[in-house]
Amino acid sequence: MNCDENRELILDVVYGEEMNSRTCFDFFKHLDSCPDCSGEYKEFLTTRETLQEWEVEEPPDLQVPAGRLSKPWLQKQPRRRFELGSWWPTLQKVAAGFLILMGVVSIFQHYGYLGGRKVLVSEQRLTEMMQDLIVVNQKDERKLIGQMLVHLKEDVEFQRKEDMQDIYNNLVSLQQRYNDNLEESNRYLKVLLER
Amino acid sequence: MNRSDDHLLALALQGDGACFGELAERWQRRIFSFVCRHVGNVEEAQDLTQDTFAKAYQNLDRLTDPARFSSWLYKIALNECRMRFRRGRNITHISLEKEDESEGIDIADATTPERHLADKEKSLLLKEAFQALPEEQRSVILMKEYQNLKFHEISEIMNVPLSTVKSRMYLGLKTLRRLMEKKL
Ligand SMILES: [Zn+2]
Repeated sequence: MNCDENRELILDVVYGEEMNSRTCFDFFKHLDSCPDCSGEYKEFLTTRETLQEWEVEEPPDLQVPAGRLSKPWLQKQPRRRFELGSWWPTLQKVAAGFLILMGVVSIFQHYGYLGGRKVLVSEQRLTEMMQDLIVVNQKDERKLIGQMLVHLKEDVEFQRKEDMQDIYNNLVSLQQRYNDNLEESNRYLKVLLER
Repeated sequence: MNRSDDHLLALALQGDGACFGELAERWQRRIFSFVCRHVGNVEEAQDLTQDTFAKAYQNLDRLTDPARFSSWLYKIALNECRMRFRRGRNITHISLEKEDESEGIDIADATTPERHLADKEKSLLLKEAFQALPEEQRSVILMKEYQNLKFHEISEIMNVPLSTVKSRMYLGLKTLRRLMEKKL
């Protein structure tokens, strides 16, 4: 703590105002090491002692017992409390209460503890989203099935081509064998006829 | 039954004049001592104290926060002192002490007449020193030193920042010390 900071606190300490204990400790620590601030602190304490010697006497009127209430201020009646000054704070409180209530209701609605438009709208929206999702899925599925059919067709055609080739080959082979057999039989018959 | 200030104030706010009277009895000693030191004149202080309570009673419906009754009362009293200062009424410098010196000595009091006179002299010197101070500094010191108000309460009563209250207090005390050193 420096001298300026110390002087800012000097009146708070002299008059015992509320102060954080750490700040108070720092204040007195500074006084121990600073003759200027220490001198000023003592000066304020002495001034206070002098000031306390000033006493004023009580006015004679104050000696009157509390029961006798013929005071001049009682002759003037206060205005009733129905002007701006009295209903305005009440109105402020009512308005604040209304706003708080609205806030609480909105929170409950938001979390679905109260029936209300917000929840229905959410459900409707959810249904729409599900429908959109199904439509999109269906579209994708249709596309996929189409692609699969094309592939299948190609496969079938390819397979058919191969099968046909096989059949053809088999037929060629059978014909070949038939021709071979026929040729052999003819040869055999010829041999037999020659015998 | 000893009713609290809050209770009396609540009844006074409902139009109970007697309750306000009781409240005033409790507070007038403090308000008087503040006003008396402020203006430096017993008779004038009595009038200003009466005026303070009369104004408080008339404007009771304007007291928006009953918890601030004392600050509000000091505010009215301070305003009365300032208005009196502006009106520049002729101040007959009557001592704050009783006119007849012999009347002021309490037989039961252990202090000697010499001591009593010395005390009266000191009070007179203090009164003069305070009257020489700027009004703002005087008000702050009176509220702090003799009414034991917190700095933040004074700030509220005078409607100035806390730092202003403290600087007025600081300067005022320094000036008072200088003035008293000259006189003593
Ligand atoms: Zn220092």
